[in-house]
Amino acid sequence: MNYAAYQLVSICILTISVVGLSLVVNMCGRLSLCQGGLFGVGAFTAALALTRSHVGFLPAVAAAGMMSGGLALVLGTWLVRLKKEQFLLASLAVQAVLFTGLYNTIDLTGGPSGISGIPRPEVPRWFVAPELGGSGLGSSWISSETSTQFLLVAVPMCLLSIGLVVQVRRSPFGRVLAAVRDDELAASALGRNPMTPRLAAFALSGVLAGFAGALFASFHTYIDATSFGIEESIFLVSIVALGAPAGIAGQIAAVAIVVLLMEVLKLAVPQSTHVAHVREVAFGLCLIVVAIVRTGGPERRRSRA
Amino acid sequence: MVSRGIGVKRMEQYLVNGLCWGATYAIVALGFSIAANAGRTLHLAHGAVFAATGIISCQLHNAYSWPMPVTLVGSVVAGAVLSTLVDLWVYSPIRRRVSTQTAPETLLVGAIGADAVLRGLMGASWGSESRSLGWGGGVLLEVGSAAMSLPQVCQVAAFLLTAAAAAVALRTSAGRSLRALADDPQLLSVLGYNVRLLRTTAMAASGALAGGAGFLAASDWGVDPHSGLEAVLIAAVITTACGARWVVGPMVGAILLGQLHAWMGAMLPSKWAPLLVYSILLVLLMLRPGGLFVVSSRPDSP
Amino acid sequence: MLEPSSMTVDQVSLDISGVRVVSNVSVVFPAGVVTGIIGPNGAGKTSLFNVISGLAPASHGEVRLGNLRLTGQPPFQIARLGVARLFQTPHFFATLTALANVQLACLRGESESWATSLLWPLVGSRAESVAREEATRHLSQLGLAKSGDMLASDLSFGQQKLLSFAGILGVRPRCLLLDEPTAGLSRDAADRVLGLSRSLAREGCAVVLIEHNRNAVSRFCDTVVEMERGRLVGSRVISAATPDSRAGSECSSHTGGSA
Repeated sequence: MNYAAYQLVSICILTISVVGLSLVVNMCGRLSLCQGGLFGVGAFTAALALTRSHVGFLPAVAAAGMMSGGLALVLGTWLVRLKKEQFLLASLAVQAVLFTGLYNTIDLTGGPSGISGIPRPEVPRWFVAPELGGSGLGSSWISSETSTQFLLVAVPMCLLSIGLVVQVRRSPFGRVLAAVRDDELAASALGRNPMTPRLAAFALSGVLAGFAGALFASFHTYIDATSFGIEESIFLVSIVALGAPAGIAGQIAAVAIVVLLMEVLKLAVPQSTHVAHVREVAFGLCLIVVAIVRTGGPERRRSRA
Repeated sequence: MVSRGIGVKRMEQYLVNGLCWGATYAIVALGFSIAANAGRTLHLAHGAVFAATGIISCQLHNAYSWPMPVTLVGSVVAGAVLSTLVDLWVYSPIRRRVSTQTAPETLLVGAIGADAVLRGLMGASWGSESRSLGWGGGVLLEVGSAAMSLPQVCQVAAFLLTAAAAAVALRTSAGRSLRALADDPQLLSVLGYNVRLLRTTAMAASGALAGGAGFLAASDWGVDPHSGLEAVLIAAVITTACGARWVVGPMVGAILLGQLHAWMGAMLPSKWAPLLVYSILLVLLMLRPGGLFVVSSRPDSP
Repeated sequence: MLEPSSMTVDQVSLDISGVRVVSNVSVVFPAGVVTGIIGPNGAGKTSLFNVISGLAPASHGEVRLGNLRLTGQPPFQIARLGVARLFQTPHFFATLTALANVQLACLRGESESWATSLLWPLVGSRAESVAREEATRHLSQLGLAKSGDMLASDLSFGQQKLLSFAGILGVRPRCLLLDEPTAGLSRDAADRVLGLSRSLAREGCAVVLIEHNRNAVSRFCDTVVEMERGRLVGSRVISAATPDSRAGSECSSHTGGSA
């Protein structure tokens, strides 16, 4: 039961990052390779808030969202002006900067040793042990030590994130994003500033990456910078690319499939050090296959020849 | 990433170290520029090819005891082969399947994938630690009060040779058709040129250059699977700064960047030096929104 | 529509890669008048349009709409000030329906911010339905009533061009730049477009059209200016009475760089 709950939590955390990234990749039409770094910034912000400042879980999550979102906003004011290829390069550079920064500011992030002892959020006692009820035995909130208990936090956050992105896509804001993506010139000709909606989308994707990072830090109770490198960004991009033809639902399904496949991978590959490498090859191949097989879905511009 | 010249830090030594570092990355940048122009896309996997050839050089020499010159040849060949495979298995299938208008994004996705595959394979086969070819560590040449090791001399020599060869090659008919490929591949194919062959040849050439640079890097400061990322970013800095002109730009830019890198390395702890390069790239991209390629289309057309 | 204004091009030059593609052009496109621009290919006509819309930076000179200075402003800002453009190759949003394309033109961007999107559809749906009605009307005016629910990318080239024009009706411009509007259209469709442009002019819009079709020019334009090699080389008023207006009154002739 706890094993399934563990997988479900992983799915929730990953989904938040992925739907956030889909705002940039699918709605803005820009490939971004810095989502892993922003995810890391969120994770460390939450970790520091929880371990050093001893704030509650929700304030830590908010701080993480604001930090990653704020960073995305600042970087975005530059990045959104770039054309596709340069945006990709710039996002790669941003990822490299973020990773190097996270890895080397040892005072804050612990460098290779990371931060450990990150507390779990507190959940209502009645959820954990209903028979104890409100009998007055100690506090009515206890730490969510098991994965099942953590689900109480992870699932609502995941659903909220999905809801947010779906709402954005369906709204007039989503429509102007699609318009700017399809034909920036035409959108400009209709008086729409192409930069503003893109910046908002990019910042929002940063906020979601921050939320995911906070959940990740709290769930694993230990984080270090090596989890937030280029491999993580590529991993996220490949899930977005895999699921994109089927929309958000497809991307969520892709997350679930990928998480399960990774479990299978862990059983198949005996050496744990090799798992990361095999994962990288696997997702690289996914990206290649997706790129070759893509015949053009609703989000692709069609040739007018 | 500290160059293995003599440890006494003097001004001339920084100049020399920067020169050699820049020389190696100039070769990488030239390869990147050729691939990017021939394919009209960011060949992101170029860095991974560079790193792979560096590691392969170490395998050939350290594990299989190949002599140094043969290892160099092996590295160059490996680079050409790897680049060609990426073109044959990733870029060409994408070009065949997808229309030219949607191709740019899809090629980028493919490039990211190829880069990931290469890096994963490197890690899975040979692990993540940095490796280097142990040779020529002593002082070979004294330039003023600076010292150059044999690998460093080779770096500068390779740079000069490559620059000369590239300058000559550009003037041949092959070189001209490569330039035409960068400008308008469709027109070229209509004129009867085998565009696919030209492109693949250009990719092979870019890989060969990466192979040479990989060997040089492995000889001096060592490579690991992640070296490719830094390499492609450095190449991108150079080509963005100097435009994607074939020879002069990337080569000069690399030398200048090498100086900056060496001086920054002297003033900052070495772990922060890469940050400088990445930041320069970001700044450059802001200043030069025109990008890598000569954009010949009008502002009002798609 | 905002109040009528004329479009003034004042000694504008444009250099591209060292070539002077527009050379010291000064011309006024008055409100309520349809001005045609004719000239050989490469004369700089479209480049002049690019300068006016803000897509190309003028190397010299100024463009004004009424008293408002347009040069130096970003293209979207110029569009907001009332300058609309029909491009040679139609520009539209491929993943939206034809109706949504025009609806976007009818809206002014209200309720399109990210913050409002969180409250949608509680906020802004009324503006949406008003815009939808208007868009439907415009589509009928262009004969596209039946294609409203089709994806814009599935329309034919001619239909896409008509779609762009429907969008222009939605924008209600003060100045309209038409770049070869009749190219690729059937005679009926071309007449429809030009007829609608005429009615926009009657409402005070300054209409400028680049055309190779001399018949269209003589039938629909009040004034014609001619460009050659980046320069304005002639202008004449077309008498409305006779279609055979080449023998008609010569108003003034500009040559070379004289103001």
